[in-house]
Amino acid sequence: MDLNYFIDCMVKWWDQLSYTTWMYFGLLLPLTALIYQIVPRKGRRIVLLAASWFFFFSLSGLLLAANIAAAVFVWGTGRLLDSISNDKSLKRKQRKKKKKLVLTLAVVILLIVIVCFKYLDFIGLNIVRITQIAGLAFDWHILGLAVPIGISYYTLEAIAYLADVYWEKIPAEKSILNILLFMSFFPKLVEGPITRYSEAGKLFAGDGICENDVAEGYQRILWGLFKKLVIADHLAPAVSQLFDGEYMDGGVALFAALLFTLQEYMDFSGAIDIAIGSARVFGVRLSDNFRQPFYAKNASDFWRRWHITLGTFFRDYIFYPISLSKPAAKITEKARKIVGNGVSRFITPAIALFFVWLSNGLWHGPRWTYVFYGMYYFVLILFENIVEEPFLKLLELMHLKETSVPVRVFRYVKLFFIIIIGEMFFRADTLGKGIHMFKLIFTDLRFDIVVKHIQDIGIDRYGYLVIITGLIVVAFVETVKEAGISIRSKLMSLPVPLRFAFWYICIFAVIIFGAYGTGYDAADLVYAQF
Amino acid sequence: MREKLMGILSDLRPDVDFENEKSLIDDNVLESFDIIDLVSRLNDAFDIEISPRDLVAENFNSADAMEAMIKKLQEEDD
Repeated sequence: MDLNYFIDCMVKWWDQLSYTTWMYFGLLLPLTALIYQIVPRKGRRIVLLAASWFFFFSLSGLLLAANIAAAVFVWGTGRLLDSISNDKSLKRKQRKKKKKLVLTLAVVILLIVIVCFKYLDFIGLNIVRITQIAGLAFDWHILGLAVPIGISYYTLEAIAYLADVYWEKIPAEKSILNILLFMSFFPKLVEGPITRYSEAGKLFAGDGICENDVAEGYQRILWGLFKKLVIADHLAPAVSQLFDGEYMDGGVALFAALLFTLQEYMDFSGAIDIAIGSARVFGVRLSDNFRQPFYAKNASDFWRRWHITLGTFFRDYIFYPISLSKPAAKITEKARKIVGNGVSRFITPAIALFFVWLSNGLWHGPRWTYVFYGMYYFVLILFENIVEEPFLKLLELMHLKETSVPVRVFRYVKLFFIIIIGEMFFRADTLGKGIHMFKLIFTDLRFDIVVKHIQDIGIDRYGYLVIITGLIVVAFVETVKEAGISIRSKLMSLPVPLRFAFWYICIFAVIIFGAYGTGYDAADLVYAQF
Repeated sequence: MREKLMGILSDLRPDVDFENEKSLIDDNVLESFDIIDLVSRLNDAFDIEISPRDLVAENFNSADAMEAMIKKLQEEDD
C-alpha cells in the first residue's frame, strides 16, 4: 500500500475521532491501557496525560494550550489559597478576606476566558440589536472563534476545585501533574460527567489494571454504544427533518419534541456510559450522570436524575452560597416583615434558583433558546415547590394517596409534557421558532400529516423497528434498575456460555443495527457542543 | 439542644421520622429548599453561622449528624 495513502487515511480517521468511533474504543483506549499497564507505577499518570493531550489535540489542535494554561493557573491558585489558610501571621477574618479575594479573582478570570471563547459573538450581536433599537450605529464582525473541546466542563471542575480548597473541604493539590491530568482526562473531557477533585483520587494512584475493571468498563461502553448508535443516531435525521422542514403543525411539533427528547437522552446518556466505562478500565469510578430520569415524579425530581453532575454543581456552588449569603438573608428578612413567614421562606431559594437556572441556560451555549430553557425550569420548579404543600392537602381532602394510580398517572403525564416542551425550546433554532411551535400545539393540533409522512422523515419501517426494539430494551433495563435490581449481578450469576452468548448478541446488535453511513453522523455528540 | 433541634425538624417536615431516618440527604428526603429553610432556623435558634462548606450530606443525613455539626460550630465560635 502506498505510504502516503495510508497516512491520508489515518489523518481522515483521526479527524473523525469521537467516543463512538472504533479508533477510540478499539485503538486509543486499549493502546493507552496497554502502555499504562507496561509502564512502572510512577509513570502511569504520564501515560494517561499523554493520551489525554493526544485526544485533546486530535479534537482541538493547538487550543490544547488553553487547557494546559487553565490547569497551571488552577494549580497555582490552589496553592496560593492553601498558603493563605496556613498563614498564622494573619487573623482568621483577614485570612478569610484574602482568600475570598483570590477565589473571586480566579473565578472571574476563568469565566472571562470561557466568555472570550464562547460568548463574544453572542454579546456583540446583542449589543448591535440593542443599539439599533436605540438608534445608534454599532457594528460587530463575527469572530467565529474555535472553542477548546470540553471548556464548559473543565471550567466548572476548576471552579469546584478552587471553591473546595477555599472552604478547606480539600487540601490544595501539590502535584501539578495531577491537576493537568484531572482537567484533561480523556474519558470525561468532551461531555463529562463533571467530576469533583475529591472523587478523582484513583486517577492519580497508578494502580494496575484489573481484569474485572476492563470487563465492566467495556460492558458499560457497549451499552453506551447501543444507546447512541442503535437508537440516537437512527433518530437524528428524523429530528433534523421535523425541526428544520418546511411544514409545521401542532402534531409535527409534538412529534419532533418527543423524538428529540429520546434522541438527546440516548445520545447523552450513551456518551456518559462510554466515559464511565473508559475510566473504569483504569479503575477510576466516575459519577453517574443519569438515574432513570423518566421515572421522576416532578420537574425537581427530574433534574435530580438528569445531568446529575451539572445539577449538583449548581446546587453546591451557586444555590447554597447565594441562599446563605448576607444580601439574600437581608432581603428575606425584609420580606418576612411585609408578607409574613409563609411566602417569605420561598424568597431566598427563589433568588438562588433564578441564578442557578440562568447559569444552566447560559452554560449550554450562547443562544436565547438556552436562556429561555433555563427560565422555563426556574418558573416550573419554583411553582412546583410553592404548590406542593397545597396539592398534598388537596389529595388528603380527596382521600387520595400520593402513591395511588390516578395521582401517579397525573404526575407522569404532566411531567412528560413539561420535559418534551422544554426540549422543544432547547432544540429549536431560534426562540421565535420555539414559540411558534408551542403556539401550534394549541391552535393547530392535528396528526394526519405526521401519520401520512411518518416514513418520509428519514426513518423507514426497518428503522422504526430498530428504534422501538431498542427503546423497549432500554425501558426494561431502566425499570429493573429503578426497582433496585442489579442487572450485572444477575448476568454474572448466569452460566459462562449464556453470559458470553449475551455479550456477543449485544456486540452484534450494535454492529448490525447501529446507524452508519450516509445521512448518519456518528461523530457528532449532542452534548459535545456545550 | 436535642429537644430544640427535634422541635425545629418536626416543624419543618412533620411527615419525616427524624429519630430513625439516617439518610435524609442521600435518599432525597430533605431537598435543597428544605435545607435552606432548616439552615436559617438552625442559625437563629443556636446562634451559629452555617456556611456553604458545612452543607455536605454527612452533616445533614440524620438528627445526630446535625447535632454534632451544631456543637462543632458553637465550639468554633467560642
